[in-house]
Parts: sequence; structure tokens; C-alpha cells
Amino acid sequence: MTEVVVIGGGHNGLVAAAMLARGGRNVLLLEARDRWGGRCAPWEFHPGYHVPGLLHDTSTFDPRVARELRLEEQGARFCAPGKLGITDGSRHLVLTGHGSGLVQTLDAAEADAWRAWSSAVQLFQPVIRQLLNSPAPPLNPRGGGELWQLGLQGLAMRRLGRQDMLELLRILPMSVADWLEEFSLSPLLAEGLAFEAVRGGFFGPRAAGTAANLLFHHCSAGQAIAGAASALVDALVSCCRRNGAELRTDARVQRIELRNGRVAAVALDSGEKISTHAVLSCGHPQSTFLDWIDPAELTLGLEREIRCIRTRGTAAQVHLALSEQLALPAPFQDVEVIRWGRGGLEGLEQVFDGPKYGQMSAELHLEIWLPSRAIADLAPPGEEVLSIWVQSVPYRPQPDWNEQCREDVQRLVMEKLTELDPEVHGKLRAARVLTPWDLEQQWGLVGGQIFHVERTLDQSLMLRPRAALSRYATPIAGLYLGGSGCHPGGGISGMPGYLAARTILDS
Amino acid sequence: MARRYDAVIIGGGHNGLTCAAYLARAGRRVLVLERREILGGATVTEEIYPGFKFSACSYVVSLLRPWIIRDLDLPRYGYQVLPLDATFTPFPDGGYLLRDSDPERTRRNIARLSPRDAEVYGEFGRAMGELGRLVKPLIDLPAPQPASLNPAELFKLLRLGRHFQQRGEDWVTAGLKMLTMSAVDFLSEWFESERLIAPMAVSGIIGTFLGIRSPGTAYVLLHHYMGEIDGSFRAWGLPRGGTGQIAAAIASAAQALGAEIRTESPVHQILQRRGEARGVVLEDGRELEARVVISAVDPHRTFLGMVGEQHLPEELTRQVRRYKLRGSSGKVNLALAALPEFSCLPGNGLHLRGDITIAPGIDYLERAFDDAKYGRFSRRPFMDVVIPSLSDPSVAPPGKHVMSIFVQYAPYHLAEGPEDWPRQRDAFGDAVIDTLSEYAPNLKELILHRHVLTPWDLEQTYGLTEGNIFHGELSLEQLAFLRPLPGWSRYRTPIDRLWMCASGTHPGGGIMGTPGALCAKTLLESEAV
Repeated sequence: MTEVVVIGGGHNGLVAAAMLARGGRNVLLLEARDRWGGRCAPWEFHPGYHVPGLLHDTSTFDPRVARELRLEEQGARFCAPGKLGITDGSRHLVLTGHGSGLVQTLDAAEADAWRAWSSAVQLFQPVIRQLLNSPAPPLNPRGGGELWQLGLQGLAMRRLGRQDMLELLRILPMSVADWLEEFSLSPLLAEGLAFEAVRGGFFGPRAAGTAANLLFHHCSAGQAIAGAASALVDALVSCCRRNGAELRTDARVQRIELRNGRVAAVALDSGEKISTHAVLSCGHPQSTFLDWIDPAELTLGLEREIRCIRTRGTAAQVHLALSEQLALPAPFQDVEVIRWGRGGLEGLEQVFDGPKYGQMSAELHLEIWLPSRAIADLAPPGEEVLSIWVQSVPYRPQPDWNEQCREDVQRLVMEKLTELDPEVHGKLRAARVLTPWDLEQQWGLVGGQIFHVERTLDQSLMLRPRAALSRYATPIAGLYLGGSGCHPGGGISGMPGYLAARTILDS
Repeated sequence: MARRYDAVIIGGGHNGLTCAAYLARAGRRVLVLERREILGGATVTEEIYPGFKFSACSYVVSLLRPWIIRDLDLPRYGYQVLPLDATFTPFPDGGYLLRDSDPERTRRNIARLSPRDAEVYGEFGRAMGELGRLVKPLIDLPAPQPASLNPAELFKLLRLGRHFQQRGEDWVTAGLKMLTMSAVDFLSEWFESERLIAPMAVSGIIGTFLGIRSPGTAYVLLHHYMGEIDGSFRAWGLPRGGTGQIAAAIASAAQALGAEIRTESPVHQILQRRGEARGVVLEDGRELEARVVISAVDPHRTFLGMVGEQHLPEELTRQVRRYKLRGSSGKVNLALAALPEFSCLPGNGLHLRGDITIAPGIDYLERAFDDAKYGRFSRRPFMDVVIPSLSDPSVAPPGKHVMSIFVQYAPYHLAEGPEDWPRQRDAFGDAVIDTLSEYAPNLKELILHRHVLTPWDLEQTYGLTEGNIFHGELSLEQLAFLRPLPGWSRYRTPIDRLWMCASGTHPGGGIMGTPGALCAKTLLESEAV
């Protein structure tokens, strides 16, 4: 009998399966789609043109996970993260490593302000890393282990000293706009940095709690993986295989069957039934509980809690195939990604004004990735693919609306790109637009929320995705959660899967 | 320099007066200095037009702590609260929602919107009451000090942790969610009808520069739920004689206990010698010495105005400057020839005797906030309207009425700059009256006098910096041990012998009296006086 069935072959599921297999468990990993990687899966959106995944930033992948799984032996290679360009169309800034260093500034005052902000972040990095690299602090510690963890986390906080500890507690609930404004950064730089905090969220930079998103990101960012997300997925798949995990794609889960309140089996769409005592779901918490488990098995309270998880997506993705490289201004010649906003925090706030009312914003914020410049074979030689993150586009489940939305998004994006490169229309070979609804339909991202569960303070740490589910085990015996909807959540970190697997191995 | 005081208190608002009363009760020689000719600060009743007495700024009471009322024996000095026990929300399509103190009637009214919500409503009220009781130690005691290494403080912190833990994990979770969620998200976990959620959510934005969808507003919602009148949670009331009567009662109590109070005594500066506050200099040049100086004005005015930047360490100046005030509300006070008639519910029934809330939908309120975000007053604002003269005829001539309209949003920082407010004041007043007239069409012809207070006026007349009615936003980073400044939440300031006792300190804004009382208690314990 299979000891553990892991559902979902995204990067978290792969990490979890590899960890469990390494720990000597008999593991079966199930992926509904025909390929590995989930949001990190490479995708041929037009014949001959590929993007390496929906998520691009691998710099948050945790080095400890890579070490423990010996991913380097499987071909994963760490490298310095690419450069980030920030522009409003007229001025240009360049930062290294997704914002960890400043390359090209507007002036000296800005460099000073940047250094002040950057050192404030550095100060908190050890505490935040510890917070993000271990299970969320227990709300109601039971037993020695949990008390020990709480004690360690408390101690790490205290080690900051009184002043800095208070400062950290002050920053965490703040809005990213208020926090950045304390540093007199230039509006352009502030907007470029703040985007990370509101990415894909149902909020603007003036929302309380967004400072934490930025702080968490910068504290966890480090080396990137050469070859982007798809290279990471390849290494994880071969790591799973090498450790003896069984891997199956095209295996869509229909039900998690329980017997006497315990996990008993996983039934697939194909009719096949796999007996097991433990299921680790790296899928969405709402899919897991509301789609795969018989509602009669859930208490009313738990069902209500799970329905209340907020998963509203606000970002569309546009993939473009170009017959020639996009012409870029001189400062951006060697950047990996360009954030193109409106030149200030107010502009970024306006970007969110549409989705609140279920509308597309008149003003968009673009994050343009240029993956084919660093990775060969994504496009035919001399040609280019662009993968563009478009904020803000609301989730609406009406097909007609989405059809119109795709057209509008493509038109707006092309108009903006024309400002960069007047020839871009002539270079366009193909375009694919994915609205949040498309992301739900095709990637299983409930609500089109790219991080599974919205990144707000009340859905982070010990409240992610809900208090009762925050430590990977769930109220259903044998059922565990380990996807992005769990602490520490977010983009490509591998941590939720890693920590969930550790929880199973320890139990 | 005639007489040396134990304490001189700057500002005769309700917190300054409460602080004075507690210190006088302990036998200290206290002097309160009020800039205006009238006591109360923003807790004030003013006869702006002959015969019409307005609670010009704050207009309802709930949070004034019962123990303070008892300690100072306020009813003896004229403190009396008339219950305000209905909330009436008209909708543009002619519908309305009336919630009042009769649970069965309220349930039926809500059931017209959503039967499910009607069932949950009572449970929600009980849960909020329970949460209110849970956080009571937080608002009745000085803020906990998580960064302190003092064993006594650690013990208090542990005891507080135990207090929460004993209620069970669910309550801890509920508390954490309350602190971090938006009012709409929080209420949406309970209710489905937007027509119920919107008027309930507005408690979460009162006095803040936040929208009902902004995280952090659920806490402000709770803040407004913590009120207690005669032991009943969540009850709001109208003080007889206007809110000024509260200040008058506290002032009388303080004077009876031996405190000295002077009006028309504006303080120019806090006197310092060798880094210590030694007294104050009045605007007329007189100096008054005291063993401690207690400021009952907001942190900005205290540090940047009265202490002076040149006397502050650089780091402190930075911290004070980043303390957020940004007022977001205004007030329109009307003298009316008769009662207005709402087209959705004619007559002068119960619905006029409570709160009339203009909050017809979530998007309506969010759009009102969008205006404010970009430096405009809301063209169609949220309004909280009361007609005190219906319950308390003493505040208007016979047959006539006063109407108090609390309006949000009116951002202090207009796109054109705050000094543009005098120019926009009338347009702002018009927007308020026009919006309200959509629901009560005869309102315009009843208006005898109109008195508009913009955030600019709140600053100029009442001394509230940036027009913030709470002396600083009630956002998480400015609450509890972070209010007003990290590390200085225990009413002390970085300047020796200078203390603070008003809404800018823990537990914050509204007519609570707690900051004043806790400051006095802490001061007495410290034996500084």
C-alpha cells in the first residue's frame, strides 16, 4: 500500500514527494495536468514558443531545501539573480537581484535613501528567515516541541534588541506605501519596490499589512536558479525519481475517501482507487476540502472557515511571441525583467481601483519578463518570447466578459509596448492572454489567485490559510496540506511542501 | 512665579480633565490650562446659533469607561446618557433597514434582506460582545510591553497571554483576525446581504483614513463595539445637554476634588531646563512651574509645537513626524425648523431617534474613499446623522431641532493642499446636504442655519492636528505599545517630567477617558508627583 499520496505536482508537491521519498516513505505523486511543475511548468503557448512557467522569480527558492535534496546533483545550478529594470516610460532605474542592490539610479540622494531602506531590511533578515523557514508559530502551544519552537522564535525576536524589535512589530502591520514613504525614496523606485508587495493581491499599496509582503520577499530572496523555474522542476523530478517516488501525470483526483474520519484512499477521475493512510495535498485548500472530500465529513465550522478563505486574483498573464527581440532603451539592455508602472505609489494605488468594482483598471501595471534572452530554445534563434504580468484584472467567471477582457488586455499591453519599441506590432507573431478566470480553468488556481490564498496579514503565518490548518496537519486524520496556501506560502520557495513533508516524517 | 503645582495639564479636553480629577483625588495640586474660552476640547457643546446647542465635534458616547464614571461620581455632576437605540439606513431605491433595541423586530427587518443573516445577527452580536470582554483588559490597563525585560512586565504579558488562552484558541484566532482584517471581509464571513454589511462596516472607518475594504478596519469596528452603557455592551447614547456636558461633569468633579482649571490660557511653550520639563510658558508670557507637565494635546502639537524641534533628539523628531494623523472626516451641524421626512419611511418614528446611517452599499462607501485617496472630499459621502433634540429638547428652541451630521471622507490633505479647505468648505457642505436630501427631500427647506466643520477647521478651532479626531490614526502600527511612539506607550515621553494623557496615547480615541485616567494612575505609581 502507498504510504503517502501527494496531490499536485507543482514545485511544492515535488519538494514534498522528494523529501518523503528520501525519508524512506513509499510515495506516489499525482499531477492532474500532463506535465510537472504547476505554476512552474514550461508551456508552449504557440508552436515553437515557450515560457518557462507562470512564475519566474526563483530567487526565493530556499537554499536549505536545495541542499537537503542535493538538487545540484540533479543539475540545478544556482546563479546571481538577473537585473530588474523599473520605468514609468521616461525614467529608468536598474536594480540587481530582484531588488537587492542598486545599479543605476536617478541621483545620489536616491542612492542614500535606498541604502537606508535596504539596511533596515537587512537588520530583520535573520528573524524573518527563521519565521519563514519553520512552521508558523503555534497559536496554542501543546507539548514540549511547540513550546520550544515558540521559545526559539521569541528569543530570535528579543535578540534584535528592544528598539529594533519594536520597529519590526511596527512595520509588519503597516501599508507598504507608508513604510516606503518614510525613506524618501524617489516615487519611481518606491513604486517599483512596492509592486512586489501587492503582486496578484486584492489590494493596493495603501492597504495595511502589505509592508510585510515586501519585507518577507526581500528577506527570503537570494540566489536564483539558472534556467528559471523549468530547470528547478526538472531537477526536482529527477530527485523524486532517484529517491524512489512514484510519479504520475494525467492523474486527476476525484475524491479523497475517508473511513471512520480517517483518510483511506484516493479515487481518480479514471476510476482507479489508491489505498493510503496519508494524503498530502499541495492543491488549493478549497479544492482539497470542498471538492475532494465528502461534505458530510466536514464539521459546519470547518466548512465555513474554508469557504471564507479569500482567493481573489487580480493579475492576468500575457505571453507574446515576437519575430525579433523587443528594442529596449540603453539602461535596460541586460535586464531580466522590467516593471513598468505609472511613476509613483499613487499610480500603483489607482491600478487597484478597478478590480474592487469587478472592472479592469483603466491603468495597468506591467511586469515584463524576457526569459528567452537567458534561456535558449524558448524561441527560434533571434526571436523572442515575452511573459508579462498584468495588474489589475479581476476574476469574473463569465466567458463573454473574459473574451472581451483578453482582447482589451492584449490591446493595452501592445499600446504600452509600442512606447518602448515602435516596431513591436510588426514583430508580433502570436499572443496568448490568460485572465484570472483562465488561470482557474487551466491551472486550478481557485479565483485565479496566483498564490493560492491571498497574501494578507489575516491569511499569513499562523492564520494561513486558516488557524485550524496552519500547521500542515488538518482536523481530518491523515490529511495534510502543503501548497502555496500554507505558511509561508507565496511564490517559488518550496517551503510549504518541505515543512509539510517534515511534519509527516516527524509524526 | 506665584505657586508651584504638582502637575500642570495642557488642554481641557475630557482626557485632560479626567487626568486632573484623578490627580486631585490623590491630593495633588493640579492646574488645567485650556486655550479656548470653553472647556471640553472636542467634547464640547456650543450654542453656535442662539437657542441651538450643538455637540459641535464628538456627538455620541459609549466608550466612557464605567469605572471612571463611578470613580468620579459623574452622575452627581450632571452626566446623564439618553439611549440611542436604533440604526436607520435608508437606500436610494426606497428601501430601508431599521435595527433597534427590540431583537425580534430587528430580526424581522433583517430577514427581509436575508433570512440567513437574520439568524446570524444575534449570534454575531454575542460574539462581538464576547470579543469586547476579551479585549477589555487591553483597553482598561496600560499597554503591555512585549519588548521589556522587566520581570514584572513579562509577568503581566504572560498573564495577558493566559487570559486569552483560557478562552480557547478560537477566540485568539478571532482576536488576531479582528486586528488584521478589513471590516468588509470580516463581516462577509458572517453575513451575505450587502445592505446589512455596509451600514455595519462603517463603524470600522470612522475617523480613519481607510476604506471599508482596507485591512485594519475590523479593529476599528471592534473599537466601536467595546462601548458600554450601564453594563450593556455596544450601546451608544446621547449625553443630556450635548457632549460638552460630559466635559462639564468631569470638570466639576475635578474642581470639587481640588483641581484648578483656567480657560483662555493658551500655552505657548513647554519650559525645559537641562532636558527636563519644568513648567509652561503661556502665550501672554507668564511662566508656570510644575513638578510634571502633562500634555492633553496630540503628539504632533506636543512635541513639534510646544517642546520645539530644536529641543528634541533627531530620532524622536523623525518618529513624531512619521506618526500619522491625516484627518478624514468633517461635521455639518444644522439648525432645523422642523423634523426632516425620509421618503422611504415618513413620519417621526423611532428611526429618527437613533443613528441615521447613509451607507447604502459597499461600493458606495469604497468610492467615497477613492475620492479621499486622491485628495478630494467624497462627492457622495458616508454620513452618520443624529437629531439629539428629539431625545433631549433642552438643546433646541421648542419645536425646532438640531441635526448633527458626521461626514466621511473629508481628507485634510486636499490635492490643492489643506489651506484650500476654506475655499471648498461650502461645496463640501452642499455635497453633504444634497446627498442627504436625496433621502429626505424636504431637508433643504427646513435649514435655518448651517455650520460646516472641515478637517481644517477642526485643526484651527479645536487644535486637532490635521483634523484627526483621534489624535492619530487607529492603525495597528500606532496602537497599544506603539502608541504614540514605539517604546513610549506608558504616558511618559522621552523628555523627563513631560507626560501625555490624551487620545494619542493608549488606548486611543473617542470619549473614553481611559488615557487620562491611566496616565494619572501611572504617574501616581511612579511617584513622580
